[in-house]
Amino acid sequence: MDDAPETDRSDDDHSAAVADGSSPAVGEDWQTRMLRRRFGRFLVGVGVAVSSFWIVAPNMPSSAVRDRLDTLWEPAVGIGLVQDWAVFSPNPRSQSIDVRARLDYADGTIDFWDVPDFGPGVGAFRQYRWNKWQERVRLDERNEHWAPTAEWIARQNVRDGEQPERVTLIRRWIDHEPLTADGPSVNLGWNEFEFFVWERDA
Amino acid sequence: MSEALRTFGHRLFVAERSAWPLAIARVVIGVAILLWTLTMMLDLRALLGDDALVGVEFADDLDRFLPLDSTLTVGVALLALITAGIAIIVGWRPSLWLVVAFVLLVAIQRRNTMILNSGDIILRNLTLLLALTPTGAAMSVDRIRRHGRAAFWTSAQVAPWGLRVVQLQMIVVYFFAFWSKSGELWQNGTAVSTAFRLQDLQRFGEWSVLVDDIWVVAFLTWSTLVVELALGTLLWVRRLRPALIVFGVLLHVMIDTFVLVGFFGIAMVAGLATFLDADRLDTLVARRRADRAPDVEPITQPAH
Repeated sequence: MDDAPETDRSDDDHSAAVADGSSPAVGEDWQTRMLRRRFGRFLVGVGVAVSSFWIVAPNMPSSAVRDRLDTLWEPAVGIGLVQDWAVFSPNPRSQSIDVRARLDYADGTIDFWDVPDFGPGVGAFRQYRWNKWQERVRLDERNEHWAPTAEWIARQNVRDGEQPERVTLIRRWIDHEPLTADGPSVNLGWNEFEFFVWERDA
Repeated sequence: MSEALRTFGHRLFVAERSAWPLAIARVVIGVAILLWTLTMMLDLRALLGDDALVGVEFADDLDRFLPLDSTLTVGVALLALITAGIAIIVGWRPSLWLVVAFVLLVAIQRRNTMILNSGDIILRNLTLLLALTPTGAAMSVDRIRRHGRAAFWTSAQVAPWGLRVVQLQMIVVYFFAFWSKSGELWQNGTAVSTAFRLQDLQRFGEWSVLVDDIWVVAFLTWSTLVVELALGTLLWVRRLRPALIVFGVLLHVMIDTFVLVGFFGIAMVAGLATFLDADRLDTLVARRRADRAPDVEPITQPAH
């Protein structure tokens, strides 16, 4: 995008003036140039209004009005401009959660698979993805994920050329009581529940 | 009245100012995109590949823009995203590369939605919205290409209408993050204790002072609400902005230090950078340039 200089100086003079700080070089970008024409100003006005609506309106609390209006921001959701900023709300959840798999091999040995631990440094920027996965995959409404998950874990844990005979997916959780003035919080320990069993075909 | 409104609208959306805040936001969001992509590459096979933990049959039903259904195609997309991240950081056609980065982020994220958090969403939202702004008008390769190397530390005067949309997004995030925290634990001042005890979200394990000391916990819980509400309502107030930006950055540093939130903090810091005072930054940079090259007489950009 080459631009016409905004003064009657030559391009070279203009650039030299910009470089030495004696000219601020106004309006070199298309965003600023658009405002110089009536149609451009109209487009900017419409664009700002529509994008502002797409940013604000989806955050409305659930209501009949919201249900009526939500088709208006479907295009934004479609392109990927999504609004959902409810974090740790209305309260932080009261359970630490974890998904573990128990692997039963044909020779009678048992092993466990856990989400990998990447450490707290740069690894934290990988860890959150795995932890988010385990937060979701354990839910009953995601049960269509359970068999493929167990099969994937079996494929990753081949021993002596053989997959485990059985993979059992286990939900683990710790209940956290709210802090009170009575003293330090007590860690109640992990609870476990086997929620899916996959068996290798004979 | 209508004249006052017109003047207000002109100052808000039209009156040109330096692009330093946008340039800083561009660099930070570019770094975030680069780190996001590099860390994603390490888990390419396990999370996005042919034989991933979450198969392609579970990809988002929404438009994925690009059919990233194999390790190879996702790998190529990640390489393109690395290129985009670098181009955005150095300011080489940043609007174009921000659009490219947004499309790639959405395509990759929709391949596996099971691993996404709010940080991934705000990262792509800000990537798209910054594409509408002249982020390359300062501190950029584009600036050097157009006016020579000495122009790198100068800024063009740009219209702020795109900046206002980015700022609106930031305010909406803070306001509705505050608004949604209506539960009893936030009201009675113990929510932070519960949040910091969630083992699957801990970065450095459990710190007893942050979960067991009722005064520290109450202070952190309520100050989180105060800072989020202030950022969601008062960031428009010019006099309060510097202090609010500092509090916002401190809030994100604290959360990032103790909680696994991925790229939420760094993306939000990029967004907060758009609230920096353009005139003050311009004066600051001009003064530093003058100190380094005493022969060049600095100019002060007109204030708006």
